Amino acid sequence: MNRAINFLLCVAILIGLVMFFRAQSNLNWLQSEHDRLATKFGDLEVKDPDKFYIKRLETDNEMDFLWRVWRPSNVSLEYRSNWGVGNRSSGSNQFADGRESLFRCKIVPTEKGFQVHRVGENQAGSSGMGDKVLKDFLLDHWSELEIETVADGEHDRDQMLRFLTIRIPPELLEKLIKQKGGQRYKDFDNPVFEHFSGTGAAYTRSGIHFSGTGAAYTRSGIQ
Amino acid sequence: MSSSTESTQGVQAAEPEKRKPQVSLLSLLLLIAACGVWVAYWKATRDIANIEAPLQGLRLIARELVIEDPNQIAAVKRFPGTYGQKVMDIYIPELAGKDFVLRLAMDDIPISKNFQADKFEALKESVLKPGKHEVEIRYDKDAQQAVLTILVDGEVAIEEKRAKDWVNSGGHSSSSSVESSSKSFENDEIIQLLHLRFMLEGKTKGTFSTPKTPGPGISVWIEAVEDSVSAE
Repeated sequence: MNRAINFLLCVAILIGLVMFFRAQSNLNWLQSEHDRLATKFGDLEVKDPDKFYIKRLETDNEMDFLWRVWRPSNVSLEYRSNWGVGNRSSGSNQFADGRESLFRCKIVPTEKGFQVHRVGENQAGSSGMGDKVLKDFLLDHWSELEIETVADGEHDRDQMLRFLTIRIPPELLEKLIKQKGGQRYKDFDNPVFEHFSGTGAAYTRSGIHFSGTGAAYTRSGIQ
Repeated sequence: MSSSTESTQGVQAAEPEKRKPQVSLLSLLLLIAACGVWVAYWKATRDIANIEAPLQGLRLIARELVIEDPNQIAAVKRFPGTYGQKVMDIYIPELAGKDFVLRLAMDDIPISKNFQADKFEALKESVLKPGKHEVEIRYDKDAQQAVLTILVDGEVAIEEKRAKDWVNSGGHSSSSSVESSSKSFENDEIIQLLHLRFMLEGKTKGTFSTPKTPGPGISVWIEAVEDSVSAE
């Protein structure tokens, strides 16, 4: 009897060892792969999949802003870019599944001014911004601009995600008007550029009109 | 007396049945070892499950080229640096008697499902050497002209210049068989890097839509050929 028990236990140990070493070797490989990619793109810990998680990534260009974003499932988002005097670009998307993606906002100087590129999950586009005078001035004073980006970490589902806000400090705006004779900049909207994204509730909370074209999703799913 | 003897014998006979099963020290040690091994296995599988979700997210954003089989083509689309940028990482296998050719067409492009690339005459083509390549498709339009450029590893492989008004377009619709996660393809498969069709003005002025009939567009694909084709 004891022999039979010992034999069965030996078999169980052998099978267990084989399974363990296979699992451990798979785990080691996954861990090294994770560490390699996390060194490059940072770690984004999603504690509650029903919230947003954001991490800004480094780029080699101070005018290129890149983020890792975890987006919850069943969410309808409206995004908006505002720049200059009353210029606006917006759109909305509905998302059924929760997933991670990248979002980029890149400002590229052109001959005529700037081209602002937005590249992300279902929200890609580009818009011309400013003029040559403004471009030259802003490029000369880029380090003096007030640039705010969305905070890294957890964000509530109905929180406005202000990805990028660029303001010209009042004294610099005054300098622009004086030096460049730019009376047209007198009524210049400040921030000079902003891009944000949020649900209908986030827009309501922030007191911004929500066009609601993509408002079919609620917390409980598709309506 | 005789009954007393019978009774004693009966007790002696029943004794072995009452004995509790005995577990040897070896069995106990083996049991502990078996439990330890299986607990370690359970812990490893739990750790795998915990790391898989963040790793999947990382892979999704890393968009790295994964060569599963060195005898198959593999391709992945990079995350664009700017709006409209189309850059792909492509692996071309080295196969005896087979070349892989990058081809371009810009006229009479039918809808994607009707496009039979192997029966379509390419406007221009260039052989892709075996190995890893960075392929970028650029379409730039200025006041003078429209230029379609295909760069392979930073060098111009195909260039097509057209008059600036070669197409009066109000946008486009496009598709590609190369996706944001790495994918392997069969070697006889035609790989559509870009199948773009321009929207044309309809009967109502200012209203643009993609025509149902073949029209102007940009189609770039990779096709296997038996013999070597000289690059343009």
